[in-house]
Amino acid sequence: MQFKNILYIITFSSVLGLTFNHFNPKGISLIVQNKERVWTDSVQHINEDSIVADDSSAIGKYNINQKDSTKANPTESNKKTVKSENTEKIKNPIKDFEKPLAISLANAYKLFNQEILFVDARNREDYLRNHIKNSINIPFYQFEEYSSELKKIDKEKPFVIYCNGKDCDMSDMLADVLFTMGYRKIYLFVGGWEEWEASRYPSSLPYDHN
Amino acid sequence: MNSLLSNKFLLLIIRFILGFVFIYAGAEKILEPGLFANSISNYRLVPELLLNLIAVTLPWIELITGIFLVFGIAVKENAIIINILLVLFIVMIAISLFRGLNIECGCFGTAGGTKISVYKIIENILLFAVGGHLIKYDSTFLSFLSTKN
Repeated sequence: MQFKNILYIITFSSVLGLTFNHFNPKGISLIVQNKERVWTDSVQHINEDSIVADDSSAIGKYNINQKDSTKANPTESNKKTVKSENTEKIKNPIKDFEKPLAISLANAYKLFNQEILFVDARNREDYLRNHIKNSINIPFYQFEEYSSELKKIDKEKPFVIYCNGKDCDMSDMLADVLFTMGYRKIYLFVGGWEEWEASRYPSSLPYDHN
Repeated sequence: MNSLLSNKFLLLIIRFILGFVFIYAGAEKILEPGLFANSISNYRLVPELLLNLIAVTLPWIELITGIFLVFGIAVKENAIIINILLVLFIVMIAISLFRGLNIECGCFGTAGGTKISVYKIIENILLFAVGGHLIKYDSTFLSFLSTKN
């Protein structure tokens, strides 16, 4: 029995681990990620992709839902920007984000109206009390239990994660976990349930009026 | 009594048990490193800088020591490593229970889904006892490589 063997075994195992991680597509970064949120104001490109293109040959390619296009109801100015970028946008599907992108209440609402999926990262109790209409619950601190809910998320489509509000970090953490798992189109609705409720936007249960 | 405890078959069996437990534990975490890093961060005990490093290396330490145990390579040394890990786990779970955290153990990667509890601590203590036994008596029966000299 030699104590230096202990050191060798630990070192050997660690090196194996680091090597494996390096080549593993699911591997995680050793450098600590910057915790600051990156904001974006441009959620418009989702709208553009779902608008029926002038270039009709492109329609079949993206399986554009006719229902969506009538619902999208683009304004005149929207249509103008869409038209010039349209051929390029329609040919390019939404690209993966570099990291989850934080968005404002207004943009979250915009996405809500495009029927983008919302994911509630709060615990089950809070979710059941009330939540953004049609959102699904993946409590961050019970992630393993709720991992089957992930089936409801399409990796190719963007979706929104929220929790209580700007001081809550569960949405950020859930976004980070999902991002490393390959969900690369995540929006973070930082304002969260607080802001949504304050504006009385659509919720699963009616708001108390007292 | 001593000969019963140091019976080579008994030692072989417990060596296998401990080895396979750790092979399984390590393998599950290797398959989902992001989730394991997540589990560790739930404990709020590991500094952020070390989090991912530990998430990447710890499962491999578990896996390799488990494999070595099964093959009877450096049994005492590996049992010591495992027992050190177990002490760390026990301490972390105990602290978290004391703080009232209702978090997932992360003991077996995603396969568990179990919360931390006193049962987990007891489990780990039992494994520790097994490890301790191997450290004391060694197990060179059916081994590929023995460091005994």
